Amino acid sequence: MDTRHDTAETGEDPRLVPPAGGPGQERAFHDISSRILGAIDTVIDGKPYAARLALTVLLAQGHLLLEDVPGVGKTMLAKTLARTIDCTVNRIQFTPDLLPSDVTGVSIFDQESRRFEFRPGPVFANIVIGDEINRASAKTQSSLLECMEEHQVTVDGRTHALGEPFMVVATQNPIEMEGTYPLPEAQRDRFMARISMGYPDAGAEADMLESHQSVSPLARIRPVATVSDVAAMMRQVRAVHVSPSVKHYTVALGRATREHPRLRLGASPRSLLQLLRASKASAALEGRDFVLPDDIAAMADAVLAHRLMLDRKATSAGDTASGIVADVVSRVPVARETQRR
Amino acid sequence: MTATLSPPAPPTAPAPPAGNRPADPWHRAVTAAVLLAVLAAATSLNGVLEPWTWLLPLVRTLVPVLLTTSLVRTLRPGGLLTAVAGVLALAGSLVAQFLPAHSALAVIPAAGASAEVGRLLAQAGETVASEVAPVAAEPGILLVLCSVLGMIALVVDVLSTTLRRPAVSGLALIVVMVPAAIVEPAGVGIFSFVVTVLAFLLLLALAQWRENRIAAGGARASSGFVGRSAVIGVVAVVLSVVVPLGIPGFTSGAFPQGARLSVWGTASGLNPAVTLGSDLRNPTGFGRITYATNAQTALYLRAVTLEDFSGRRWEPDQRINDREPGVDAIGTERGTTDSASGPTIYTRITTQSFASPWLLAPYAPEGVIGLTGSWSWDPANLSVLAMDGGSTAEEDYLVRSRSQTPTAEELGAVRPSDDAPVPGVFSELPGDTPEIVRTTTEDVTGGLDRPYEKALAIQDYLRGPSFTYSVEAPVEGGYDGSGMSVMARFLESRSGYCVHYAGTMAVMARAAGIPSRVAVGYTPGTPTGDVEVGPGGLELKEFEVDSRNAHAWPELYFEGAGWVRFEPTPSRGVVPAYAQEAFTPGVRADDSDALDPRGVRGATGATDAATPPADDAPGGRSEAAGTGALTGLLVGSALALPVLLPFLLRTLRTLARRRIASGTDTSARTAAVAAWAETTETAVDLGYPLVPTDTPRVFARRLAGDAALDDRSAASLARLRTAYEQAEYARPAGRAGSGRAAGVAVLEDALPDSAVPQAAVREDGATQGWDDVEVVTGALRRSSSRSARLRARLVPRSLSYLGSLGSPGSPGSLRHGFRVRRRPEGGGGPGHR
Repeated sequence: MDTRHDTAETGEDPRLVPPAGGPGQERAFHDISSRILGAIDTVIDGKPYAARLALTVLLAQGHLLLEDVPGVGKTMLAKTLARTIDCTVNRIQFTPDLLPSDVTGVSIFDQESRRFEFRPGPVFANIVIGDEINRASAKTQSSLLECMEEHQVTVDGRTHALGEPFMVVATQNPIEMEGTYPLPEAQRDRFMARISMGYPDAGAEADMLESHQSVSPLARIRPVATVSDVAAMMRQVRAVHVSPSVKHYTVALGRATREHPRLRLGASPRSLLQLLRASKASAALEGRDFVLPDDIAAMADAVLAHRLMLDRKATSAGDTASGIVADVVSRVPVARETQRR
Repeated sequence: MTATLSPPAPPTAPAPPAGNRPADPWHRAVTAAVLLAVLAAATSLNGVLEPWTWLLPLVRTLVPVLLTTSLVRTLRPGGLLTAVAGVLALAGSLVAQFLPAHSALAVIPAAGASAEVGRLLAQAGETVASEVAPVAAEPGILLVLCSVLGMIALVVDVLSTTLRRPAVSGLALIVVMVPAAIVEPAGVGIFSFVVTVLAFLLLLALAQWRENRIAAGGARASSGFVGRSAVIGVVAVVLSVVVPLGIPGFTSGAFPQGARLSVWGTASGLNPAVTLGSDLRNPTGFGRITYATNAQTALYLRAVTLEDFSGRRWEPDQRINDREPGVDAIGTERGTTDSASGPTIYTRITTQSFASPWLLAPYAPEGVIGLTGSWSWDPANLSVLAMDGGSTAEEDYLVRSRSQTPTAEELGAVRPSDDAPVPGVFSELPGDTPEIVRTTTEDVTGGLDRPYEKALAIQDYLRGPSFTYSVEAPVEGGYDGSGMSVMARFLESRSGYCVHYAGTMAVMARAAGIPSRVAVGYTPGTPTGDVEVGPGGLELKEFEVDSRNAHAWPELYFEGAGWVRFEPTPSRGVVPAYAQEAFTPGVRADDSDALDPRGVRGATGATDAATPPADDAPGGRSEAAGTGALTGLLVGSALALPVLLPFLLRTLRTLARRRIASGTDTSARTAAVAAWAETTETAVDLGYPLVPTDTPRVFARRLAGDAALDDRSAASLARLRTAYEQAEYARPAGRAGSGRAAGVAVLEDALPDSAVPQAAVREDGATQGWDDVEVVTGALRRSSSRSARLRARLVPRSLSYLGSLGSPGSPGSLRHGFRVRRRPEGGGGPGHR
């Protein structure tokens, strides 16, 4: 699994690489992140959590799944996040007839040069917005998911690396909507986090009606960060310290989901790795260079819930994966390293 | 065709609920420590029973009980069943030991068992009522002892092992030591005290060890607590033994050395001589008795006499077979023909709570009316004894008696006789009479002929300046109580109290050929001022006496005059006119003759110029009043020590943390952890919940809300929390990236909504940290009720183990906050919704 990331991480072992420098850089981290969040806030009213989570996933080098009924701002959030960063953004509208090559790109025979030339598909961008991913066929879905996992595209035997940073923000209507192909469990596992946007509250909704009346606020968004800014921030996130007790706590959470009586499938080791990464980004956004159990607990729902499979009884009882994650978090004791003294 | 019928596959047993209860084979060690602790506490009984006679029966009782609970506990049936099994085992072992003839299968009580138990209990009651410590280990006493200690062991075991509250079980151990503290003159010995404390500490240590093992899921746990326990134990023992020595006036001793609780009122019939000693040492009188009498001279109330001087202790002889039933009319002493010489005295006595089988009456009683129950009198000494287990408690009766007023001339006329008409027991000296008694008697009475002269000489000798009255000296010298050897020791050390004076005079009188006995009762006491009308319109003046008037005096027999009271004890009682030396200058016999009890003390002072006035004379007496309060205080403190133990341990922990947190040589990390631990534990002590699933943040947020902390304390709490998070979760200092602190500080400054102050993060944050602790804990205390604060001090929950038994959400499960988690199966166990 995920060898590429592993090597990337070993290459930047926090013990070997100075952690993103001095105060100046730390301040830069905070400035940029608050500028991005501020910009998103002007467009997406009343969803600071979703905005922050999206940025967290970006900095943790994961992919984001936005899941909710149509019309609550999933695509808007993805677009806004992409716009705030001065980077390449592509949007793929998934439809049942979309082909894998429509995503990855195709090799075309160039008449002049008499050779096949690779024409990159929309996946070649820093941020790829996959709208309504569950409307595409399984084949097309999996082609995108491969890119997400491998950070590369292989067409006709040639491998093309994707740019860095690379983030897929997929939106999905809940599966009970008509004409959709629900994402297989294995593929949901590739998304670091899933958020349900939820309806805005009354005040935010009124504001939204007001601000979106004339011109789309999206048009006013100007990039507030560059690709290199984001890359530097990602390095800082990777340097965030995770103490052994926090790792133990993470493992305990994962084991608790696997042993949970209402779950058919618990959290995978990969999901725990992603939980840890997301928590590191979350900690960095809070100005810490170490992860607290609070970070893990806070990210657990977003990172774990969409991977869990409830058993029949739980489904019929009306349990939700989020509810079970909350249950697990409320039951697993917090580990501490230090003995009482 | 044949078909092999295979049995249906057994349904796979459902996996036992994992994590419900961690494996715990270590409870056996705790139970073993319980056995040790109870046996150690039982060593205090060495002075109450004949030394070590209790050991074997007790072991036979305790071992089956604790073995049973331990085995049952292995099956993990729950606490109640364990306790029930323990009770059954106790009953079984008691039956097997004490009722072998009335049992089926050795352990099941059979027909006649209850009657036998009743008999044994009656025997025990009799022993308690009539014998003096140390008593022989008779079956009755042993039955009571083994039952009580068995129950105590069970309680200690359940508290320590099942409920995992070993500290509380110290109270039960104290109960074991109470009888010794009350009964023994020297109280609970230092040996016994130290052994008990050590065993209790061992129990605590093993319980802690078990907790650690359970918490670590079986892994070998840290053993640092053993060292800490040892230090605390040694300090506690040394303090409790040494501190009393350093306090002036603390001579009568507190818990280790003779706490005299005397909660059972006055002498309950134990050896009069010994209880007299303790009664006299008690600075506050108890066992108040009032009597109203028409006697014009000082009236002594007599309960019993001692005449058999053989044996290690002198004890009253009940002579059950010789007694005459019915006390309406009491005759004269058998064999004597002496006529009543004085006027008839009527005395109405109200005993109130004074309980003794011997009736108080002035000598010589002629009849008693108004008594309930059946009573009998002894023709040998006219003592009145309750039959059928009755006692004097709550009796109100009228005694008719003859006053003794022989004149000195009458007594002086009595010639020595080799053949006194009294039973031989009044004249016999045991063969082991120490030589010093005979030589001293020779010295004192040498050259005198008449018995009266000899008696006066002996009395004069004992009242002389070479003897000092002291209720303490015998205790220190180890000759408290009565007995021939005690009298010899008294003659050597020349310091003691009435029992010694009276006993010695009686012994010396016999050595001089005068029949004698020791009477035990009360000196006249003080008038209350009340007057009541008695039979025949007589005016009866009321007096009251209490334990401080307890007294012993010799009665000597003079042929023709009968039994005559003497008063060899300086400064106590009243010397009868006939016993005053007419030739002593400055003393006029008629002065004392007309004494009524009102004038006792002044008159006594005049009686013997060499004797200091009563109020000053009894060395320990006035001092005793002063030290009494102190003694009480210290006894109270000693008893309070186990109660205060949680408080002390908790305080020690706080002090240790403050040292760590304020120390200059400790790292910021250690200091932060100590400061945070103190804060959380104080909160827990005050009743704020701490749940194992709490992160420091969650806990701090809830605490600030629950306790409604003001801004300053909330800021302090936030500082403490940040510092602790830093210590717990951040990259340890010394590794790459330790320079981050400043960076974080900048970052957090920049965070608009960050309320995280920076002081605790700085390197000099150590002392600041403890200030914050005090700010926060102060605020928490202020926001708590008085009772919560008291509970936090006396029963700090953070010391409790019980939290681990409760649900994860219960308060007090603090240990999770600081130790390895309970095994994570908890999350998957049953009980999920």
